[in-house]
Amino acid sequence: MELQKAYPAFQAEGAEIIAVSSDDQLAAKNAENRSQASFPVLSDDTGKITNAYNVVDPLRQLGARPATYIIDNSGVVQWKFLDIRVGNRVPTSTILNALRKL
Amino acid sequence: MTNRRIHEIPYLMSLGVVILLWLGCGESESPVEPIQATTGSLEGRVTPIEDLPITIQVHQAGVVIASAEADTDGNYRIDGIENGTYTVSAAAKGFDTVQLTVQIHAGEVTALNVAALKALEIPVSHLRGRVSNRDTKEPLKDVRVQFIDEAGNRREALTGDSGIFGFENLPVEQQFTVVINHEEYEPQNIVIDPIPSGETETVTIELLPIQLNNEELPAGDGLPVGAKAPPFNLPDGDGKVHSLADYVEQEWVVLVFYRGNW
Repeated sequence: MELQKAYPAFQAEGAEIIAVSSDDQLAAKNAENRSQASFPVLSDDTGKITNAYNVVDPLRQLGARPATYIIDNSGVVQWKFLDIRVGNRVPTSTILNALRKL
Repeated sequence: MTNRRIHEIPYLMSLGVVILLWLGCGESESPVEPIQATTGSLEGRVTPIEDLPITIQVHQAGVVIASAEADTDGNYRIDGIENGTYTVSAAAKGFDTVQLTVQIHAGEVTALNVAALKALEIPVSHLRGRVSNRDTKEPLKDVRVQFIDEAGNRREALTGDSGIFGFENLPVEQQFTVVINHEEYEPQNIVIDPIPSGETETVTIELLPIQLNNEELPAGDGLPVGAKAPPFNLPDGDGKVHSLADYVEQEWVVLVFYRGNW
């Protein structure tokens, strides 16, 4: 998986990756196994956090839009990427470049 | 006699030229334009294997464009293929898949016969499934089904008229994942347990239509830059709870929302 490959580069920039899945816990476990992610893959099966971050896909119950946030060490959003199309995820290099500029 | 024959030849030749010219004139004056076909067809024959269906697939850039099953005599035909170069595969359970490259021309039927498939010597298993609409129970045709093995190798199939798809000659003793992404249905990821050698596993997949209910749920435009990130405590796959606050104290966080497979 692309994010996993770039994980060391993120760590070198002093950033941790956290993935949030809107599937249930079992699906999150499967996704983690499949992609062998060494960063946390968390499950938001109630959709509460997906809603709190305002990335609910209006076409899907409990579904998140592909969204990426960079949060600084005082807990403030410094950068975001959001797309309305499911499956259109921001390229990892774009996130990394944004991180380096911040 | 000999002389007369020699004289006859130019006469006949010129008559032929006149007739050809006349035909040519008729053609160029014709006001009827033929309808331009945008797609072509593929047809041919593969040596039939007793009691075994042979699946013919047309691929382009790794994506299945069309598929059909050869009849009991081994004949097949696929219509409605756009101009272009394609890979055609012929596959049957327990036989080595044959792949050929073919050029399809609009308005033409391209003939492609496939040599007899050879029996495989390694143990293989097979998967067969049916895709239907969970609400209406109707079979779903032309749904693209992706198959991923443990090594990450991908294959694709399109469902036929009765929503049926199949993957032949799969490696044994490993788990597979079947993925369906269709814009009108919720995405599906199904893990298939190892299938014993020589056996065919059957799966039924029901797809849930995506509900349009804009009124109930807010459209997610995301948080603006500069907003405070809402705190969370969420479990990972092992049930361990992670808190945003714990991470933020240490370092910056890249928070990725996703759904389904990566």
